[in-house]
Amino acid sequence: MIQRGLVTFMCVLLFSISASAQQTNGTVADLETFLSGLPKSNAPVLDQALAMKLASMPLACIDRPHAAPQTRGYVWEASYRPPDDYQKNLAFYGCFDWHSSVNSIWTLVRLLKSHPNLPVAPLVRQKLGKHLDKSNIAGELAHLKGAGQFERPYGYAWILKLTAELSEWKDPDGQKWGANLSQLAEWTSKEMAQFFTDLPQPSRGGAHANSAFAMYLMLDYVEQAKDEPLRVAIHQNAKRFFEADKNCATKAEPAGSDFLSPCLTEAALMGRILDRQPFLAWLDTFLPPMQSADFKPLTEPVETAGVSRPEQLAGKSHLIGLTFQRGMVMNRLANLLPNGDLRADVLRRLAAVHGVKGMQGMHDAGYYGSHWLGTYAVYYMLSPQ
Amino acid sequence: MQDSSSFRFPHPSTALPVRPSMRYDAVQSMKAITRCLFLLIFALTAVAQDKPPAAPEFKDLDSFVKSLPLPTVKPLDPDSALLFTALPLACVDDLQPKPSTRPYFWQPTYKIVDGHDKTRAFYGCNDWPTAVNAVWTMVTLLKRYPDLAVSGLIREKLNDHLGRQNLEGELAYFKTAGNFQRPYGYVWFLKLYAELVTWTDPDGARYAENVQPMARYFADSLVAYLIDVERPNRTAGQANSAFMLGLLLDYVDVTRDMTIGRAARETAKRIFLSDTDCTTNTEAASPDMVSPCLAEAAVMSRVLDQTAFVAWFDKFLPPAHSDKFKPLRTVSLDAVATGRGGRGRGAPPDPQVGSNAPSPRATWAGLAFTRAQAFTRLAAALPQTDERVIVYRRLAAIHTEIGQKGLADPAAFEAPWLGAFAVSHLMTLGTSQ
Repeated sequence: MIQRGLVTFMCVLLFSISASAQQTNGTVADLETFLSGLPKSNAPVLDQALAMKLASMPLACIDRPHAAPQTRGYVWEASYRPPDDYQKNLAFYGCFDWHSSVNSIWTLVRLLKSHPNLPVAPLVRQKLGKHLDKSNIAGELAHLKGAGQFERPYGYAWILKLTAELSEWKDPDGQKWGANLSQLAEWTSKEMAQFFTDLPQPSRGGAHANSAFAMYLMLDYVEQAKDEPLRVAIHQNAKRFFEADKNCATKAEPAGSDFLSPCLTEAALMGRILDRQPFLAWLDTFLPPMQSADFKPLTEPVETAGVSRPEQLAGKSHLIGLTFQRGMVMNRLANLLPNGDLRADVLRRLAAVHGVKGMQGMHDAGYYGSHWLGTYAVYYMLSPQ
Repeated sequence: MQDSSSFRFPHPSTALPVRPSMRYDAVQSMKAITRCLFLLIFALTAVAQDKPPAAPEFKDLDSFVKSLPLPTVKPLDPDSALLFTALPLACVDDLQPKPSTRPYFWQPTYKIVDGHDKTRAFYGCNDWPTAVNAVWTMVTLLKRYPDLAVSGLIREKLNDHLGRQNLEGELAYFKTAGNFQRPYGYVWFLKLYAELVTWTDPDGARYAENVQPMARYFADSLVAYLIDVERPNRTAGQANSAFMLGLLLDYVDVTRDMTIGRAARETAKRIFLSDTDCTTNTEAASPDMVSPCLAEAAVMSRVLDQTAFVAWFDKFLPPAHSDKFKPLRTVSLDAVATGRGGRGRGAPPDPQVGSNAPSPRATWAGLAFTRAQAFTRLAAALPQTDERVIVYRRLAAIHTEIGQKGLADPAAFEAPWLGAFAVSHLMTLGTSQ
């Protein structure tokens, strides 16, 4: 609209004049300068060889039972044994922990969909068939019903994402497994709607408990499954939690073992919740200008090369996974911005830098990394770029 | 869409931030005009006085102080000391609960460690750090008030728990226990050792000797741990790095353990020195016992010299009369609990968490004490002519009063650690006979 454009133009003009008079660091030209100073990396591409590598990671972990508790107990001494017949009664007992097991299964499904002719496709189908059998999923549901806060909300979000992936897959096996999961998914969806409604404050940390990321993952499911009650719960509560937020604490990112960016994730989530105009207005007061010092912590992947002691590897793997998570939400944010918005170019370039760095670190944390980093790599590469 | 009339720039001291989407933002024209004019006016005023216009609740520190209540703080005396000993006495032999979570995969069979009362020292009071600070509380109070009516009983308990064999068993366990209780439990143990080693008492000397090997082991282990800390934990609970460093410095102040003292100071500077503009709007968002902003400021006041501290602090904490400071003004004992992980307001305790769930009222009272302690430190660290001194003293008193109200609540008896927090703070205020 001409009128609107004129007003905007005048505003920018006046603003630039006052800004240049003060030698500010926040002019439009600076964003351009900032962009031109960013490295141009080629984002990693999921070709057949990479897909094989990323499929082999979950294949190598889904049957390796969760890590046994390390400590013997301080005053209550424990001895441990696996549950009886767990291969028939449980599905997600591998890959170090429950949510990693669920998202590893998701990764296999996702790769089979994107690369149906993967040489290991028959093995993948065999494994999926065993884990996603009716009795295994029934055992999972029985466990979850008595398990309180176990894996809420993060693991539950992955269950829903896995279900969405299966049910939109035009494949006889996929349809069968999707049907096996449907009861578990329905229950999970109801529990999560209640969970967010009951939650007085969002969890804003950079790990599993983060409310925004769980919601973000679940929106993938909601959009596919047209699950209206969960959609409403997520939209209402996301607004309740985040709509009044301003000046996100980007300077505090990342904490030592974050695998997600609280600020970028919240921004990307709100981009999926709010209409575009309210979102753009909200975003302007939420994230600092990308060329500013405040945004700098989000522009560079964390260097983890020096971290090598065994007790630090779990945290290290999180910081490696953070590169993919940032890359993914940066790309999502870029897509939410208007055409021609320089910030989108900045974000895409930063996302590529992060993706490249993540690929380099895939095996730098041993099993602490390999049991889940493949999932984040796939999620990053197969999200809208 | 935000209302332009309430628009304020976040950082008054920095230059005008540009809102990049302004070029594209297809806002309705009227709004755009309003905002444009506002920005222009703002830019002009900013040039003129480098200060944003604002309509804050308080116009200056003075009017803020005048709005504050005059609290009543009760100093520690023999009567309250006697009450504070009841919590540890009642819990040190009450075995920590058997883990009750239903595991997903590895099915445990539990038994009590053989001879636990001979080969362990801190097996009561719900959890290990609370068992340690319960013993710390008894030792501290007995040192200050040797004639307490329960002094004989306290000595009996200390004998039972701080015997040589108990501590040897502890140390053997910890050498195989990885990160268990590190760092929070470790620093409480060092605080206990500091109390014992400065106690002129034959029993105390014997306990100190028994505790010393494990104190040495923990101190060495913490030095290695601190060197590796790259980024602080900024949560509001036990894991908070600043809070932990403060407790550790309490030990250093008493024992003059230079090696760990240096490690603690260097770590604090490394992880906190570049911090500015602390995020206050998440303070007290959920019941937890630490104020991340105040704990950080308090610990920095102990590692920087006064000039350097004041320069750092000026940029770190918003003025007490500003709206940004609001979440730090007070604590409500009745604030709604988060219910830990999503249970509803006023919902009954989660059966999975069971009796281990902290009572939010006790936790809020604990926050009041740790805040009071931090405000007290800040008031002492600033030049005594600084106008903030009187404000922080008052806020310390207000928070102390709230904490003391919380102690009278039945919830306090479910939270033995609260007594230790209270005593830790009240001892620094001075005591009466």
